[in-house]
Amino acid sequence: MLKQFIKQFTNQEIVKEFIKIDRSYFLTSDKIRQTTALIQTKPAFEGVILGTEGRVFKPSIFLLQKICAFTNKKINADKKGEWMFICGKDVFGKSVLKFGEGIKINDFVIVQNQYHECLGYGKITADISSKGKIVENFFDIGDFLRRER
Amino acid sequence: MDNKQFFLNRYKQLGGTIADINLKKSLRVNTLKITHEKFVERMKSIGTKLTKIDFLKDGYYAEANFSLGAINEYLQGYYYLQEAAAQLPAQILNPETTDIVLDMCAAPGGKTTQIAQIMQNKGIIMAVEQNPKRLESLKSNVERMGIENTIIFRTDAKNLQKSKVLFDKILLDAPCAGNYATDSYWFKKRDIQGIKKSAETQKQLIKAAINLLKKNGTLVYSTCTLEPEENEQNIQWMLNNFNVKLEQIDSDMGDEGLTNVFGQKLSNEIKKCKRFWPHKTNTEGFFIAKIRKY
Repeated sequence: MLKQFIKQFTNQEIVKEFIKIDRSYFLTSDKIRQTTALIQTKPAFEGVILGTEGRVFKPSIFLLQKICAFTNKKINADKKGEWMFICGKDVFGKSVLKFGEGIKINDFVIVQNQYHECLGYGKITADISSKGKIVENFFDIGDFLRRER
Repeated sequence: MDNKQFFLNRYKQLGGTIADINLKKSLRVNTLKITHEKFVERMKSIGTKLTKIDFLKDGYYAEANFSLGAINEYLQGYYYLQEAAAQLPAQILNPETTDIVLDMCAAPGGKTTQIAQIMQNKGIIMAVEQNPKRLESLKSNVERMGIENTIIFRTDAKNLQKSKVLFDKILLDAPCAGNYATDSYWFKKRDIQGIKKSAETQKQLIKAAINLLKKNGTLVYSTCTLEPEENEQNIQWMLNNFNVKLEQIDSDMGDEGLTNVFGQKLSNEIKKCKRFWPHKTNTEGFFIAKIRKY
């Protein structure tokens, strides 16, 4: 599921080796692996989290940032769009400051803010010239707050 | 005698009191993700007033007319909302970038992520938490803060004694009775039996920590309680039973540890510990001891 997720944005092999613990993927190191092996208990988390499987794939901010360096499939939202998106809402065309080149309907895009900080990802559902809803929210970092409930 | 009066009498015997404390909201900037300069500028641009906390390396008091725990800057992991006194134990532990560090009761992750920050995401941290709900908070905060050198285990920290690993440094921020400065219902909830039970649990954790520490390794023991059974008396028990010595804590904040507790004379070494009375430090109640194994 991790590789499928990355392929929606780029064909580059940006994560070569990873481990899976339950439903989550992690980037780890030999040093960390060797230390983990000294404990006779399965870890719950190890190294850098890349994402977690669920109804939709939940990427980590780390993974989104890594993908961003290799894809044009991204948009930048303005301050209002940023706030709406991290509250779990969709992105409207009037809130988009910039589109990556070649984005079309049904593409998955990473949503960033004016500072190029990753906020999550979604799917283009309408022509990008539209002022109405154009990106359906699939995952946003407001998830950090919703997890705590 | 009501419970509040009972504790007030205890605190008076220890040289303390109970006062109305208006704790300032404080945070720690995450230098793994942003510099102090950029952080101050960014937070100012969204209407947050920051004041550097002079006894902390990365701490600020923060004033804002919105929730600091629900904005993009928080979600990006640029800071951790963390009480000022609670930022001291990791700073006092002062891990090196090559250390293997154990955080024994790690959730929700304030101190784990601070240790990783001091270690510049190098070395290795083992963070342990037994409670499944609190474990999720720990995992979430480790992810949000961009931590890369941490392994998290869901287990009782005492179980690690069965493993083959010894640690250079250990933080034992022990589960404790808490204190009135951060909990307005504290006096209604706490009694001396609960405090004694908590002290016994802490002794077991201290024993495990010392077993898991390398020779010459450093243990920082901290609690957010004012009760001497969980603090100075536990440290005395440790001095009596293990090959350890106390080290001076390099901080001007807080009083010396108590050496006379309700008539019981404790080792003068315990003066090296730090005790935070809220009415003196304007922080939550807190206690810190720095221990070296020999």
